[in-house]
Amino acid sequence: MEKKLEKMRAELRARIIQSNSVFILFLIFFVVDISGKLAKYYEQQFAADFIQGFVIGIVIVVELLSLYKLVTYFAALKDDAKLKQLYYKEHDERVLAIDQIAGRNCNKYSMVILLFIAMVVSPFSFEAFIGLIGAVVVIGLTFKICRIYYSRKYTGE
Amino acid sequence: MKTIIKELRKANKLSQSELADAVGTTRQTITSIEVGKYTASLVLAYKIAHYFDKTIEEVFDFSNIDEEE
Repeated sequence: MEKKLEKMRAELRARIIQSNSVFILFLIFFVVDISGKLAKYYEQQFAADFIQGFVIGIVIVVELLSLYKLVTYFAALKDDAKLKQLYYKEHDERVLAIDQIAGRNCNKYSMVILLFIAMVVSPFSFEAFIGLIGAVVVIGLTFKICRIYYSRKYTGE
Repeated sequence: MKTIIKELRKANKLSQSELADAVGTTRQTITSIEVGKYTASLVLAYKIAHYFDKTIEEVFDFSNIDEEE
């Protein structure tokens, strides 16, 4: 168990660096956004305002999540009991099994729903239709690639 | 799958959290196993049985295994 906890500590230190990077990156993004530099790329003022609001919202959510993760990770690094709990939570077999099943079904449903929305949107916006079809292709391809990778990883032949 | 984990826990005056901590899982997983909503993996089943100094077959009921999903 001590080896696993040591591995977990190393992983948490790496995650702290990642979370810090994400925090700073999105902060830069926020500054660029409120400075109005992005707005000039949009022809319509409505679209510029919408995107600016959207970016601000995303930044707030990401920053809060990053902060929460940082606090959790630092607490786990200081306290072995909390580190153990975090390890059990992240490696719990039941949760992993649920994620597996949910992920597989989510994949199927997402593609069908996106295709349906693409059909509905097509008479109104060709660009949106292409974007949605592109999203379906990305999801399908990503799933296939992951499937091939993990099949090779876990096949003994 | 039916198990006698709850009975073994109570006989040893153990909470679900304490058992979870001892076998390296979460309280929610122990709850799910006890009520039969989740079937433990071989490794987890062994850890639980071994903790109570029993065999897997003594703790987990395999009599209806063919009827389970």
